[in-house]
Amino acid sequence: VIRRRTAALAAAIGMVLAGRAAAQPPPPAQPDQLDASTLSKLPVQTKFALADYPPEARARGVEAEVVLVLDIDQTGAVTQVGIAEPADPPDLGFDEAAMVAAKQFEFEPAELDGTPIAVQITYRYRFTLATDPAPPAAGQPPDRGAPAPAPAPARRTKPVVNFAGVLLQRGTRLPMPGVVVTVFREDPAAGPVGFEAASDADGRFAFYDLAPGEWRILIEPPGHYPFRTTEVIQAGQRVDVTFYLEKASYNPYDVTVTAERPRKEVSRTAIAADEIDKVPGGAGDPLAVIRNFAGVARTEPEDGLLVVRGSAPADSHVLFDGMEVPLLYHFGGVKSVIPIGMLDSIEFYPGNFSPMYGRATGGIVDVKIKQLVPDKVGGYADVSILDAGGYLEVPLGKRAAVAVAGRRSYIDGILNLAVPDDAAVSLLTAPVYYDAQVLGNYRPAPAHDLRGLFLLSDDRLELLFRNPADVDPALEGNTISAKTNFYRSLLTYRYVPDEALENTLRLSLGRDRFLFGAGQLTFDLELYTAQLRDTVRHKLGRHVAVSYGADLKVEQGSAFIRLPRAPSEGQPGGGDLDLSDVRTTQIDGQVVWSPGAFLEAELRPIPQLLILPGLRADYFQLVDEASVQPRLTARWQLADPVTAKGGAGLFVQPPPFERVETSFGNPDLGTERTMHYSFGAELASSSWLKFDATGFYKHMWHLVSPTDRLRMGEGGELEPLFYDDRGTGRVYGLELVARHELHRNLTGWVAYTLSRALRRDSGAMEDRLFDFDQTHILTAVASYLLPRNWLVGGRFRLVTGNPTTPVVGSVYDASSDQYDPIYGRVNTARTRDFHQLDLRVDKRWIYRNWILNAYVDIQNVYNRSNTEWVDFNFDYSESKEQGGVPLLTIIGLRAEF
Amino acid sequence: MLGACRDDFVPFNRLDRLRVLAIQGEPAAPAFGEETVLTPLLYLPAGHQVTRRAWSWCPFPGPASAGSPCLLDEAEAGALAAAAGAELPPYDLGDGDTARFEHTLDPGLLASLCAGAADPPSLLRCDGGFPIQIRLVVDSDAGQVVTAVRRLRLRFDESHPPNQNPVIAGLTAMVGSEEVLLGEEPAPDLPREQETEIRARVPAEVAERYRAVDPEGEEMERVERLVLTWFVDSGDTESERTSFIDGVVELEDALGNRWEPAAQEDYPADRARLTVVLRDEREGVTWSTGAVALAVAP
Repeated sequence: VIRRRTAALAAAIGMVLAGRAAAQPPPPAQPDQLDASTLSKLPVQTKFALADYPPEARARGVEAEVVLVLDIDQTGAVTQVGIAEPADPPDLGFDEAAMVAAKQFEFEPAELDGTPIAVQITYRYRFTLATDPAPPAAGQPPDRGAPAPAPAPARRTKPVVNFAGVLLQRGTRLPMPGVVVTVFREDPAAGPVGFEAASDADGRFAFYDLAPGEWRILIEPPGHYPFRTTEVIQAGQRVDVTFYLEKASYNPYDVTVTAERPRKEVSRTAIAADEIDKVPGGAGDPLAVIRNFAGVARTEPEDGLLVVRGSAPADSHVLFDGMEVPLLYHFGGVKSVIPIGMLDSIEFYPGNFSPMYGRATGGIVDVKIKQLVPDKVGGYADVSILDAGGYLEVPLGKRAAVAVAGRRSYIDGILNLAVPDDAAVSLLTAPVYYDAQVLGNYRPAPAHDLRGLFLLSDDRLELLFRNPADVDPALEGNTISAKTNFYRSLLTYRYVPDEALENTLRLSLGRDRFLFGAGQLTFDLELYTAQLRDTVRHKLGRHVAVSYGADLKVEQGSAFIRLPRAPSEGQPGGGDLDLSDVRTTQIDGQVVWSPGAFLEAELRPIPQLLILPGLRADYFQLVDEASVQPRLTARWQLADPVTAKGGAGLFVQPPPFERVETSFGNPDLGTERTMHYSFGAELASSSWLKFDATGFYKHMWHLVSPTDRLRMGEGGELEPLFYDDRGTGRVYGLELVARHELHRNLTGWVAYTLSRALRRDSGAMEDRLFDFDQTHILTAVASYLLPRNWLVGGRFRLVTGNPTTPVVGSVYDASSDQYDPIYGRVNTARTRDFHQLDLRVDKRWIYRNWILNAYVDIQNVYNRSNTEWVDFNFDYSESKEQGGVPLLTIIGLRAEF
Repeated sequence: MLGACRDDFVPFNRLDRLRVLAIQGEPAAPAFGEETVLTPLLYLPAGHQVTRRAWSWCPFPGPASAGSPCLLDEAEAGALAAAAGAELPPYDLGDGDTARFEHTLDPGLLASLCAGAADPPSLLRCDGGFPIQIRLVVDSDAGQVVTAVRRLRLRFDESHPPNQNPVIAGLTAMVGSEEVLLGEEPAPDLPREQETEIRARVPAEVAERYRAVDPEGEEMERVERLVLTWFVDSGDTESERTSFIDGVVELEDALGNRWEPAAQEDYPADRARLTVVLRDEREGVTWSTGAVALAVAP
């Protein structure tokens, strides 16, 4: 872990370096760490000192590893050495020997915006007996602690390079600086002779005036396999080589660059992109990991819904760098619209989030886009059973970089081959999705950072039914089509002139198009969106910082809608549409403004206590209503490993648009409101094992709720309201999380949520269960690193079944020729409990210039018959729970270069 | 209703228990002073009897999810009607094989109830007449009970011609290369576990032209959509329903289907029935039935 010691900003870096043998992976990124790419340079080791092997340990044949904590000053000198993890077994002298050696290390210092800074790193020093790479007995290389070019022979006055090369990491082609290259041989005249040189920042090394003949080369960079080869030097000729050195491990948890951001929220889960990509059960999808967090209810695998702490899916927002996007997934949940290559991390706030986030009463998922700092042209191409995609990033000088990516599904090709010409359903447009992204970074000066992301996504499907009555007898057409496409341009300008001021300006422009047609039903929406957001943070001293800003969201929409009213949460038969009650509306260029402003102070009266009072103000033109939302969170470090935390705040959002539209709803609805309360404690029992317990309570009011109430129309006639805002809700629960950072090759977490989510509909006398009320949600995720770049992982989930409304009878409607179910009390039954085990195996093959990564993701390993919905026969006299994913094996390949 | 697939259950169109398959009103949309005769099409498994029929009507039915109950009881509705100077027929329509409903509701009152309902949001959809609910409850000696409801539109505007019930001229089956008309006696032998092409004979003019309002609110001429439901008591048909949609699905395509009678072990009887119910989209309905002999497995 690296910490910038001269400023409040703390950074964290885990470095993989070792003594005489292959290094082990470093501690993983902490859950509260950020990408430290804001560091313009990482510390680079320039001098290594070999520790004395403890004699007793050598005699007993004991090997060990010591994790050190090194303080490196602005000059690169090691100023202090501590023990993060002592050797096992203790008391043999490993710790002391490693500390003595480490004090002799030297580094090129880390830099922030070009200025050297003091940092703290962790350093693994491994004592290994079996890999002492002693050169031939005839010649011993000189002390490795003093790498230097070989001395020029006396007969030359000007040395000449006749053996030079570059050291690149095998697979990634990254240059390897600070690595010692040893050449040696048995000289017939002089006996054993050897020389050393260290590679420079570009991985280049050179030897001067090596005598002609055969030389043996030995390279042992820490964390890599030893490299041995032979080169022949001809008189008067120069030999240039490129050596590819293989890392001991290419596993994804070698996350070496992360920076810690001080925790400010009551509940926040952050996970880095490299780890996201390997979580079992996600089939390689970067955003699937969200569903494994505490407080997130389980929903159908492909529905793309996010249910957080008993809030409706629409109450939670997913943001890209703080800006709203219309869709996260293709076809609702099949695949994310953003590739893993462009992600930095995902931050999840299940409640009591900062006033910087607004217009949501549930939770926030903020997808952080990567800061491009590529060392080389690189990228990947991947294929899975669904699609293929690629990612390419290119440095443009020292100050700029650009990345492009794209993905296209080939489900259409497969289906077109599989569906016979005389099938009851023809694919006019087989389901197809694609997305494309361009990401650019430009950093003209250390204080200025400009970033742009363009994102395009498109889904389309069109089916032709030979017999539409097979779908629904009321259908008046024989096609069903769905087209969704959107683009977003996100521009971010970050200005950090000094440590006391930070200003981030963001602009998002986009267009969304949603088109659905099924017979006489139509939903055709075109929406232009602009969002402007500016956030300023002033640090006013050691004890106070203030963040404030404003955001403005403007939407202009045009729509033609001819649909039945969609069922509300809590209305049984949620997936059914009543085609006998189709309504029509036309909207032409309606503009909706939603300005907001926020203010948050960070008060640290004593080092152990952090208090964050905040305020957010919003105006919702849709319902012509303004709101002021006070929020407060606090964290108090009671003792070194224990932190207490708590928060309370008001959260307000506008009602869903379709509930306000005149033809479908009630234009007099107001905003929906929720108070969040949470409290808990965090315990860091070690650097790799952390516990978090958080209790929460939410009170909701002014919820939009279906109603049978009538109102008097302008002409004096009675009209149905359809909805009012008299609904209320309560949610309470407890979240327990145990997080095991990478330690002894194991990483993962266990998240358990105990909760109850209740709603009271308009006019109801008692509460009912929320549609996604799940009493117990247990998720356990673990991955284990194996040698030779194997990684195995598993995910187990045990979740209470969803509430359902029992069907107590049916009536045959002879007009529509269908049975209508008669429902009992809402959500008074449940489907059976859900449990499922997923396994994943990853393997990386390292080639000279690229890496092949293959994975097998096996979902529902023991083929549990889970329930996603309850199916009924035609007269509702019989039912079956079904819909669960069967045993499913997904294979994917990725070539990285 | 757009619902999920309902595999693994007995299909909707296979008759194996007490069912109400349709309720016909003749005339389909009575004008003021006309009497509609309500006739049900029932299915009863062989050897069973209907033990009770109960007919009723309701002017303001509640939501289907609650069983379409009558929102106003007879006394309340009668009082409201009396206040408006009208008289309501009794809710109870008897327990006969058929029932009769005489349209005695004042057209002016119905028109005023429908006033303001032309544009959504509305309480009532009055296209073609004021909708009332007809309810039939049928019990069988096997202890089965079926409740069926249908809309009956009471005309209050005489400017548009009334909807007529459709007609089916007969049902046929292709036996070899011959199209055989099906009657009450099981004439043709159909092979079990093999598909046989079946057809309904429906004249093209059955799909009436009428004036309607399009989604933009403009009056337009429409051709009725026809939906045929193909009920069988043995095996399955390729489609449970077929439909004629003007400009989308040709009538000839809607009038054909394929029937695969069940294997003998699943359906031992040597005869089976095909019943086709034809509905238009304006509450008009009719049906036709034919019997076939099923080949005996060698």
